[in-house]
Amino acid sequence: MPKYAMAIDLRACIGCHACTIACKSEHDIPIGVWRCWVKEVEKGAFPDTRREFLPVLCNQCDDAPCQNICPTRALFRRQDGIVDLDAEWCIGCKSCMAACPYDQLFIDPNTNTAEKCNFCANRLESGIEPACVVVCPTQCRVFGDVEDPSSKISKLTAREPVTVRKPEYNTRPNIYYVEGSRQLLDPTHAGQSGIYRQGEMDADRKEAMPPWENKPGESRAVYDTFHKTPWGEKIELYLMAKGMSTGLFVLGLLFWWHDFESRLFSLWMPVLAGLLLAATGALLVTDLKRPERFYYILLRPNWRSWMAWGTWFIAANGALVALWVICDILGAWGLMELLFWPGVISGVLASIYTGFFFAQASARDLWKGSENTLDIGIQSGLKGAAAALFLAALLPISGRADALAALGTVLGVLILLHACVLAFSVLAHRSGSTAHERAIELLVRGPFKSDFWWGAVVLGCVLPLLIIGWRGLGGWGSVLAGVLAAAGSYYWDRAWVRAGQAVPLS
Amino acid sequence: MAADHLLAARGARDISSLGRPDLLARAAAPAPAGQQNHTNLNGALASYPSPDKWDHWTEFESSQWPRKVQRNYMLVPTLCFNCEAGCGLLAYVDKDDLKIRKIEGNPLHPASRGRNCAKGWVTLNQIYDPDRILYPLKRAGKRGEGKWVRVSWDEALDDIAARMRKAIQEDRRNEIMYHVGRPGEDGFMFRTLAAWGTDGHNSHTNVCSSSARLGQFLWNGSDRPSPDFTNADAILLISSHLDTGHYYNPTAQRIIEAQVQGAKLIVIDPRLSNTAAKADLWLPAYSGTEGALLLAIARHLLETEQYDAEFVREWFNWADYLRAAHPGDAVTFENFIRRLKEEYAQFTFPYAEEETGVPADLIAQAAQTVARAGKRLCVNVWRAAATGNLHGWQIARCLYFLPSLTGAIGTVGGTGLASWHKHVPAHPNPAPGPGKWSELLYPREYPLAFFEMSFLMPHLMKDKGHRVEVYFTRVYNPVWTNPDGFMWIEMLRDEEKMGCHVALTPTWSETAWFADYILPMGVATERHDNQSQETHPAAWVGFRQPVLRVARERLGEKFETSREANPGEVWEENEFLIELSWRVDPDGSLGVRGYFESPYRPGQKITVEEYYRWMFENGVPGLPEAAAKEGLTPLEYMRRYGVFTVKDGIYEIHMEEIPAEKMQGAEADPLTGAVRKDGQVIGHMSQGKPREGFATPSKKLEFFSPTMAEWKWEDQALPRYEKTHVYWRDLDRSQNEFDLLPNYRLPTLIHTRSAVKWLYEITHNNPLWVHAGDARRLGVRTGDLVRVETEIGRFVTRCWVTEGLKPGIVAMAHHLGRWRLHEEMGAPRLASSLVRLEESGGRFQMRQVHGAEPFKSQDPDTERIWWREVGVNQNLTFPVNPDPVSGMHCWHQRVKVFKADRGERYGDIQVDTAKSFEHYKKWMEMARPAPGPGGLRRPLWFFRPNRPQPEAYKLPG
Repeated sequence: MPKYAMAIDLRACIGCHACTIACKSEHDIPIGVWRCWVKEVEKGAFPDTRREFLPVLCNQCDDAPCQNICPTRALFRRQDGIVDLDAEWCIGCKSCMAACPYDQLFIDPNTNTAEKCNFCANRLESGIEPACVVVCPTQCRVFGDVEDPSSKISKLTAREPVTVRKPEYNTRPNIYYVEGSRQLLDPTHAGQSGIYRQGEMDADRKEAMPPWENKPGESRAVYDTFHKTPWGEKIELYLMAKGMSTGLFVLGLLFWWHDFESRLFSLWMPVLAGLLLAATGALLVTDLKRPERFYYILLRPNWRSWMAWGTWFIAANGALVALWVICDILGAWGLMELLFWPGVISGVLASIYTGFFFAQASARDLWKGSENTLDIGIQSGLKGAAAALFLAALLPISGRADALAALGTVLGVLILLHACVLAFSVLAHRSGSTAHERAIELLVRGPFKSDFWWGAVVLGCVLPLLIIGWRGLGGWGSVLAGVLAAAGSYYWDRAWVRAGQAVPLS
Repeated sequence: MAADHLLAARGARDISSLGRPDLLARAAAPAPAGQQNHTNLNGALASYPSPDKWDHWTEFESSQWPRKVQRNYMLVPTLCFNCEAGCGLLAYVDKDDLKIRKIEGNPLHPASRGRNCAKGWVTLNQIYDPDRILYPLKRAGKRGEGKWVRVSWDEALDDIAARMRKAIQEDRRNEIMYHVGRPGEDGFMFRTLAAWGTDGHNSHTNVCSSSARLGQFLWNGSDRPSPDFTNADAILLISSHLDTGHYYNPTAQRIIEAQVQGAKLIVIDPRLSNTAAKADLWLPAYSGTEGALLLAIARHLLETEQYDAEFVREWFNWADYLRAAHPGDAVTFENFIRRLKEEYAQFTFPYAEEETGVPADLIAQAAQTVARAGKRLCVNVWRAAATGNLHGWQIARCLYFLPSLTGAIGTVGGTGLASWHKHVPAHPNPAPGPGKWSELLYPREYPLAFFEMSFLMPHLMKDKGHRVEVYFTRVYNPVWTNPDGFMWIEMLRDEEKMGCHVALTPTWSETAWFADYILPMGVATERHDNQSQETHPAAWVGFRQPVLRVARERLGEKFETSREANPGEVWEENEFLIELSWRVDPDGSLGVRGYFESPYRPGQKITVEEYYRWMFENGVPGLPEAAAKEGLTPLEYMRRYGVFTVKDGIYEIHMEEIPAEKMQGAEADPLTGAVRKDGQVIGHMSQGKPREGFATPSKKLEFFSPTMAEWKWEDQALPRYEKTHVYWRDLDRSQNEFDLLPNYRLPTLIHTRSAVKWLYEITHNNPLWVHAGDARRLGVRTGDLVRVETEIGRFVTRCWVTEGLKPGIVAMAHHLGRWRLHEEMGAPRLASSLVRLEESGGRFQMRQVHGAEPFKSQDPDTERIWWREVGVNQNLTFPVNPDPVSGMHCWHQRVKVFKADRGERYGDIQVDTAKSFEHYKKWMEMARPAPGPGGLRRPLWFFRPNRPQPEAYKLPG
């Protein structure tokens, strides 16, 4: 069984784009999306200017993040090393797009399912090499069995110094480049502009790009394709809805456990949690490109994917919320005692799995790091406390003052904790990865800085804490602080999701 | 065999593994009996399906993968019809629905070897283009009004034939003109025009390569080089053959093969083309100063004695030079060398640095690289500096000086001649050339023009009162592509002077808009043509064929015409021209019909099948034998394989010995070595034997051109460095004057026929390149609007700031800036802007209404168009710059560049055609008109397509 790989000799690539066309032709790929393309980077100041060409395609990684994260096992690895995709099982969740560090996956607008290069597996079946290999005028692409020492690719990679894209992501890619420069291979190195020497970028994508610096002496991309941001508003709202839901439920149960008698805790918070969880479900399902296929995750889950786990956690949590509410309405206190621990655990899991899930989108350095999981838990509590405070202020409940005070304390503590995480993970933390640094730059000084400073910091932390400090814990001060903190939390979610995806991957 | 060149040790040269691989050995092994043809049995992958499987090839459809849905194909070879290279293609015809599913390369083609550039496989887009024209159209209002009706081919043929017939009967044959943009074939048009008896062949050469051609032609009688790149040690390009240009795919393959194995690539270009980006040495000289650089290299070779003295002594016409230039000198080779060194003494490296702006040490490095390469030196100039500059043909001449000095003419790894490698087969029943000279195409002011003064057609029509009865524009878009397009519109709209304009084209174009008939002709998979090009030291003949017709005929169907098998009613020129010629002369009394009668069925109309059957039986040496070996007729062989190699390993043809019979009665001159017979020079002595020599009058390399001297250009008789019309020292930077480089090409487009989706999504805009320092001075950043002012007009575009350009120069790509006057028609919608055109008294103003926009069609992709700006048609604002010698339109423009004013919008264009007419007259004053010696219009030995009878060469009076 061969192990397929490809070597691309950049000494021979002339930037002609025949490979781009060959791929479009072989797979009838629509306009605006690509399985393979050629990036062009210019560097140097006249007369020492150079232009370099980087043909890119799927690396068929030995440890493929896309395959790991795909919740339905639509992405699978063949014995010959090719990471293939069965579109029949794709639900269009775009996790693969979030996970691939190389921008190699896209949603086919004709089928609304994901697609990527599979080394022309359909041609290999007939004994013919991939289209991009065959068309190349200079034969710079060498394809073959990298485990056969007598193959051309083995000889080439043995004899010449070769590099791969982003080795630090440990994906173990199988596209080897002969003679590629740093400026060419590292996408954070070369600047980007919305207008290239022969064209322009899609308007949607232009908005997500940081503004063009126009410093010609630096290296910059003079031609590139663009890639749609996989996760947008629905996912930002999902963080809000789910966070609030799980926070409400867990807090509700915890307060009930600690003998807070009010039905605010035992009923109203879980009811609101249930409604918000349903909204979360709706958001997730409608964010899918193939929403009618959402249940595939339940049919054939990929247990390596945090999205699969998360779906089950949310389902379990939903069931427990429903059960709990029914029990409370029926007055089945004994059952409620039994449901307490499962409820809390399911709530916590349903809340924090998101941290692992976003981290599994291994392309986005901003989302890695365990503080994110912790923070998601903290924010869930924060959102839940804010919603609870709001409910407490609205509903005619007994022991309101006590409830407000207790909830206010929880809120205050959580805001402080969240502020600490923000301070350490954003302002003080330095992970060493350029992409991470870049994302933080975008947050703190770039296009997301108002969301961050005015939204997450001022609205979300400073103002609420000031209000609590002034009015004390409890009372309408806490309620107001809760509203502001929740709003700020939304802005943080938004900035975090966008900044994480704004750093160019290719 | 794939990628052998990547594995070869650097510096090693193993010729046996290079060049044309044995492609059949690479193809998949035949499947064992009873099994499918999938060959993963031993794990070996092939690059291409082997020819024995082309009739029954199965593959799995990608869209259903990993479900294995099988497709059964018939693979039919043809040639690409986009640029002039004629690369091989294989069309995949789905046997179930008889549609072409995709198009790949033909592994048997010796030049392209199965590989193609981006434009090859994209032929698929051209076939299914929703904006292509499928039926003959006739105009229904005034010319240019934009109203069209569909007509039948019969109606069009009868109307056009009647007009042509009238012109012939009234002795106005030269009013029938056939203006070709993309030839893509060898000889059919020439034969047809000769049969019609018209000196009516017009082309695009003078906006393309005239100067480069003349520069080489003066040296050795062949107007294009054919370098053996694969085996070179040094490659010196004033071109961008790694990214675009003539034969770019086959030459790029071979240039890279050489470079990866240690050959040095030197590129002279003020702009960082992709080719310059891959060069070992990039020499960004100011436009038009390349001659100084080249002569500095020549001087270095002379001074350091690194030229091939034996070769120079045998082959340069130094005796003629001494006699003409230094009559007092004794006619010895030593004196020649002495004078030669004197002639070029001023071209030191420091002097070259002063002129070009390229550091002297880099020029010295280039010179040493050239010297070391010796006989393995390849040079090429196609357009570039030769095309852009006044006296550009001298740049070409200086370039070919170098391999001539080092003896690298036609050697292994050296620079051969196109005439040695291009094989034009005999056509059946050729006609003699026309009897009358066309003053419109070859005006007496430009006796040495290399090809027709095509771009001056509107000016000459206006100036000298010419008239055209039937004007065919064939895959040609002069309104857009030529300079001064509004003069073309004025000319085309004149229904008096322009009798009937017939546009032969697959797509809408700015020129077709001003036609009387738009007749759709096929793309690469829909027509018959024979084509050969000089791509490497071999001669091959390729065959383009209507793929669906061939496929269906193989399945038993019969067709009268290709039209029946092509999409819609798309036809092919060859059948059209045969039919048209019969209708022009149904009873043969005009002497036209006879040339279109079948060689196999006397008196009957020749079919296109019979045409090529005859050609392949009689005009391609070795083909009948090769076909017979496989039990095929020559035509069957070509239909099956698409190409035939006539000869391989063609080198140093000038050294071929003159056969003994021819030497009877011939005498060799002991001093010069010229071999004379009956007063004519028939060859030349070299290394002790009589050799065929070169196709010049002296049979030698004409370092000194007696022709130039005889035709009033004594001052240009030698290779010289001449100042260009955009000489950098003449530009006033304080007035924002720049040298605009407007004619560079892109790897993904070909003129205006490649406006298809997969190419346009990569390349759809042509911003103005501005050097970073210049941009700062102008106060512009990338994306800002700028206004460019030429002598006759102005345009507004976006700028793109770069370090990849010499300061003082601005550059803007060709191909882009298409426009249409109607929302749905006039130019492909994904590639053009809708514009409003206003005019009054020769002043034209064009404004863009909107750019490319999504639109509904059978192709869902047309609704996904995301690009809006599709470039600006800069050529409209360029006045014509006819070089007085070569007739080349010198493309570079002296312009002023400013940040755009408020109110100026992207795509604004203004032109005053009164000014452009004045400009044309001014440039014509530089001309030195005929007659030359003998009262001729043109030197007889000068190449001329569709050559008229010798009497026509005499200028009356």
